Amino acid sequence: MKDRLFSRLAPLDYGKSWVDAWDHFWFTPTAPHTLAVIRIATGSLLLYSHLVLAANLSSFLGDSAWINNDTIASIHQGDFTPPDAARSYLWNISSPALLWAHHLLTILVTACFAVGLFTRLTAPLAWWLQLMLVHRLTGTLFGFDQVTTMLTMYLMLGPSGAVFSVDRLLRRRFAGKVGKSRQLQWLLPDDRPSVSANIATRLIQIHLCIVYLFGGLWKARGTSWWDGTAIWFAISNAQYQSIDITWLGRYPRLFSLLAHVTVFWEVFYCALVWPKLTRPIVLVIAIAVHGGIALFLGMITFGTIMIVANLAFIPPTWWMRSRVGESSPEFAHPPSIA
Amino acid sequence: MLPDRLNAHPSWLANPRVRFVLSVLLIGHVWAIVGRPLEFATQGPFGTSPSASAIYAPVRGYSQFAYLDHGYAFFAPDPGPSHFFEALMTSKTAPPEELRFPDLAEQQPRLLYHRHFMLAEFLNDVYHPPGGPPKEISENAIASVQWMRGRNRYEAVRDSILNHLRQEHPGKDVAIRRVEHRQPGLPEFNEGGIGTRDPRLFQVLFDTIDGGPESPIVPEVIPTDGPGESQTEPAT
Repeated sequence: MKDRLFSRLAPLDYGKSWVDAWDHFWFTPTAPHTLAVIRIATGSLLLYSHLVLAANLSSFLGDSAWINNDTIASIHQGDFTPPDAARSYLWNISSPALLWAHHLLTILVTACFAVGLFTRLTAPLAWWLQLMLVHRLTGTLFGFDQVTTMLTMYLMLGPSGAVFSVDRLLRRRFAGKVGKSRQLQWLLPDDRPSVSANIATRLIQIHLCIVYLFGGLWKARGTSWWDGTAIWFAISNAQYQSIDITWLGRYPRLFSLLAHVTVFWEVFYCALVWPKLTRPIVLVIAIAVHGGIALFLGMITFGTIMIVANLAFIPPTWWMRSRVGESSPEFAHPPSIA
Repeated sequence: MLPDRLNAHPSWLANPRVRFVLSVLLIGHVWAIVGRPLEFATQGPFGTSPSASAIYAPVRGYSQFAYLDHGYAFFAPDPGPSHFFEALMTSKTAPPEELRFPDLAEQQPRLLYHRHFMLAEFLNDVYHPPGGPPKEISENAIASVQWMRGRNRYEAVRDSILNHLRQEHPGKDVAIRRVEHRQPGLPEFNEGGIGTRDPRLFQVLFDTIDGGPESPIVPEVIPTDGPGESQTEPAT
């Protein structure tokens, strides 16, 4: 008994158990369904963002934009503060025609990414075009842009177009040709579980945990999140407000409770979202918090994309249940993320 | 749990060296996404924590280029006031025109309004008062240069906004001013009858050395009767 205990606690065994856990966490194949759902939602929101920008393109890109090309280049290249590594060829383009052509390409690529057409190509291209845009749009960005760019980056790592996509229809339509060509098999991946799908999902999960951890720690530095008035000061900010819920101000116990729950939830999200027991509670609170931001604080896009990011914690089996029987044999025993 | 055939690594991953290289890349990426919020959270009045900066330094370039360099301080540490800017367009031939940015009545859909909202917050964030550095800074050459660059940055952003407005309103003189809109405190709201858009909650932020309207350096102030009178309720 004693020997067995020492054997278990031996450093080598302990190290091996960590390596095994690491391997299991990152390199266990996962089905692409969750990624595909996130791709549709992220791609649609990104497309919407590009369309909104198109309605006022010259105000945001070019030499006569709110923040013109020279100013953006100066900000990033170190004329005022230490230089950073953010670079965009867009701050070198003055021609309105060229900017329009570039933006139309961005819209087209993002639409293809959203519907899952040639996703292996359009996902990295959509990310790159978005990256060039965000580095050009410094000064007009907010959390929505941070999260859409982050999700698009991870969606290009996995086969996010393998299901719920035009790629899937093409793969079926040209099954014979795809079966004979390795290039086509790569371009139109099937929906079997893969390590790349798992890595992409894990990165979204980890990134989200970091976002919430620091979001919560920052709130914990503020006095209003401790005395409970932070919710009041958020809902009474008229420039955010989309639906007036200042009536909450008459119920201090209620809004202070909401403040305390928000901080607790954000700080401990990174721990409580992993156990199956607490995950549903954490995700329901995420929907409530971000749904509230979307509805009442006027940030529909930001609230929605945060809920979309939280979908990374929904196992692919959840999306596959209605489709068992029509898919690959693996789906008879769908893998679980948890 | 996965069936064994799915738990098994694909052939290319069976090689431990491949998994090792992938693991190093993953650790590097996670390092990059943690580094900036860590550095940002450890900022204090005397700068950033040296250890946090050192941790972030190796991945700073990658993090910045991949747009991963965020602090994630949403509504934190405390939900503060919001800001907007007002623009006055004047000419000898037309009556003065006053615009506000952001303005929900003008900027639709909401995402476009929010872009203008962020622009106004950016103008406020980069604000740096005019004049030379204060005495405690002027004795330090590096700090003095940084002080002047801060002002240069604000002027570059302000002038860019002015140029945009001049392009949109050709032939007109343009001036802008920043305005802060704070929220009412609970006693003000519940007992004092001060609503969220009460004129008393708006304050013009003068571009002066000491922040007060008495200073002679007021290059961007629009002539009005006072902060309260010229305000219009922000549409939501």
